[in-house]
Amino acid sequence: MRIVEQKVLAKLVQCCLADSEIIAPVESEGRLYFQLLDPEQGLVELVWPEVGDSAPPEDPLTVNSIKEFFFPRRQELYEQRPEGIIPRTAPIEQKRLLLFARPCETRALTILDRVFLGETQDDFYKSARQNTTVVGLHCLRPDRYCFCTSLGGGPFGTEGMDLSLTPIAGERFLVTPVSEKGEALLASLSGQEAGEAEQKALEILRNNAEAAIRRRIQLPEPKTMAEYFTSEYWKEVSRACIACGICSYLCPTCHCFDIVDEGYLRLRCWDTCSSDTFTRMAAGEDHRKQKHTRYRQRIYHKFSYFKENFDTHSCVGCGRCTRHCPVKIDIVEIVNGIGGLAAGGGKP
Amino acid sequence: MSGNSKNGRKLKIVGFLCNWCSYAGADLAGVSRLQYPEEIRIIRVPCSGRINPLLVLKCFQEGADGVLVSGCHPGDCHYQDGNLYARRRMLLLRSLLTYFGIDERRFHMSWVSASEGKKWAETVRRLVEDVKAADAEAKEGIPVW
Amino acid sequence: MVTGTIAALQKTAADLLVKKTVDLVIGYGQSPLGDIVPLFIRKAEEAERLQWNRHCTYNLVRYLTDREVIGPAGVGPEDRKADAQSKDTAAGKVAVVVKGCDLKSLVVLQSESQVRRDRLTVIGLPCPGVTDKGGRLLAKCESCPPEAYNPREGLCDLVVGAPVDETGGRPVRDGSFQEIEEIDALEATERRELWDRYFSRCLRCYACRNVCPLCYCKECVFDQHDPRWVSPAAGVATNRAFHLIRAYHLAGRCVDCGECERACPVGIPLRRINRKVAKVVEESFHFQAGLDPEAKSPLVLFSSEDPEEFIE
Repeated sequence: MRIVEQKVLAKLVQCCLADSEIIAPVESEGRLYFQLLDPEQGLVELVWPEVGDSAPPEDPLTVNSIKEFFFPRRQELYEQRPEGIIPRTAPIEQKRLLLFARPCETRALTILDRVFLGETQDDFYKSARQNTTVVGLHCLRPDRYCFCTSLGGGPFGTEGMDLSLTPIAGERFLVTPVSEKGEALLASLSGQEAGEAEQKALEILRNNAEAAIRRRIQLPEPKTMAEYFTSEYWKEVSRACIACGICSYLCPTCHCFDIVDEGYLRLRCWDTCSSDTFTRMAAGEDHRKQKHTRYRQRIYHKFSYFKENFDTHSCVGCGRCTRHCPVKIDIVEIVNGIGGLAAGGGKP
Repeated sequence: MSGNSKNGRKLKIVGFLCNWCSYAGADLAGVSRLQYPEEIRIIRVPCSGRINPLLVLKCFQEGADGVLVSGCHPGDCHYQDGNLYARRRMLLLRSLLTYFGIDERRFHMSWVSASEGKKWAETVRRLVEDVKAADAEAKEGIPVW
Repeated sequence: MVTGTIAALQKTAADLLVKKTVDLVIGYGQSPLGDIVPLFIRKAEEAERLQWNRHCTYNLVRYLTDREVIGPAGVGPEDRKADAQSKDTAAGKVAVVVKGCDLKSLVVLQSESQVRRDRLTVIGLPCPGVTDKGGRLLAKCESCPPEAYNPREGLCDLVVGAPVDETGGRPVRDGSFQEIEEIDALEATERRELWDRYFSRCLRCYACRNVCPLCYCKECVFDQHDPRWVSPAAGVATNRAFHLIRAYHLAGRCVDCGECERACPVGIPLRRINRKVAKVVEESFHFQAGLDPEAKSPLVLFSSEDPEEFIE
């Protein structure tokens, strides 16, 4: 572990601008977004984490997750012209540096890997993963929506990262390599090697961050979930839902997509099971016309079916779904309620 | 008389003409051998009031450089008042198009009666000039829609 | 005092349920995480969960066209049939809590026959303006005309809470269309850049559409695939079409409740689009939405005086 000053890191990132694309949090009208930095602007737009008394009481989190840099929201595939097929997408060859990704969304990459690098490999996704160095940022002050700890993650997790950064006072970071790519990057970052004092400090920061996470999800067994599939519970809990796509689109693990033709162009775009056209079929048949069946589907996919198929829940506890839901549907309360139903001896 | 865009590509302009007045007016222009730009592609509709603004937007999305809606003069509509609804609709559509930075020269509306063959030709000529001007002033790399 | 209002509201709701005037009360509640949420209660004992404070931003009128929420209180033929067969006097009767802005959207729904007013109990709450999490008054509240601070008695069935002073309080901007005029004054290319920047952020999540009380079409134009008017895939061009068309469909109907802008996760200033349309409608067709339940939408009307300078 090395202590690296922010200005040293900044210098490295500046150098990387020459031959890499840089993806980092950028502020716009009071909100934070992961964006590709404009090489002409340089690091001007990049938002550095703040530590200390002047820092906000909760870590400001980006609206979007890093998912879209591996699974774009709009990906033009090819054109089908009379003269032949003209490809419009190619594997990524440009190196990319992704800065300040949070442990929840880097962990989400390992979950997306199960989908896009499974039996059938998505070439674009694969090249994006291979050519991106993920520099993660630990969370010192998780907000009340975070619940990563009850899903196998944590504010100081490193799954999916190449290099992890823990911000500390004095505009410095504790930097730890996680992968070979990370080691390579670390080689260009000069700084003092961390000693016992720093290790202790890290432990304290980690414990504080983990303790700050009060929100806990109690994951029911898929078997229990199966019993409550037809319960009226789903109508109750989804009543306020407006069936938009915010939770799915901001979720770092949601990965459903649609294939759409625009003239000659065929492209892939994000889709959401919340939408009432998601399961619409050619003859107009749609077996999830009712809102509560769609909300139920979302929960079951993430916490039952995906778990059964891939042995991991399709959720990393980032909290975006609740944080940005226009009506504050609380996924944790809803999932915990299933256990409550069962415990209360509720009829399925 | 031809309208080519900046890079030499042929302009695509769609005209929605009401059957009873404007289409007849355009026909009159034809039989009178009046010259007007060939870039206009005419779609005949029963009445300007039939035109859903969505149709105009569809044209732009599909690559039209300009769109024209042409109907009977107020008071002369074959269906009494279709053109009066169209007037309100297109005013609103035009405001929104302009608000989003689409060059207002690309969307025209006209009243052309069955006897106004000359006016028809002039209308199309003016439209094509406007679209060419809009093209010429358009920023590099910014598509029409 | 707000606490007095909450108690009165809770009592009102409980009474309505006990007396079987309604079988559902739609109001504001609080989640375990401390957020205000829409609350749907059917039993008098649940009335104590009702809340009222400066964070009650939602427009609950949105749920009056959601059949899965209001059940047989709706306007569908199946609901009217159910009515005739029902012996329960409370069945299919709904109470809803509204602020001044929300009430305007209900007025539009009434004018479009999308609610059965006789099955609704409208509970109006005088509103001093709602705030964001940081305690800042929402921009829409700054443009709220003083007459809307207190829900109009003729339009509500009940009003709960002390009236808000119409003369003092929040700053009212002079010329509520000033922001729009500033955008109108830009060069076309600047406007194009401005809006394209926002449209490139749009995810097509449809939160703006789905949260809107007036976007109630069972089959939305954007869900039609034959004909398909706009590609469902996000992209600057398709997003521009989406926002233009949605604003157009709200012409003379949008009451500026501001929910769309609040719901947008990527901060698109949607009110600046809807208010542009409202400006055109007001200046060219002399109409304002949400004031008269008998009013007809300006787009189903015309006038011999309608402007036609833009027509050759």
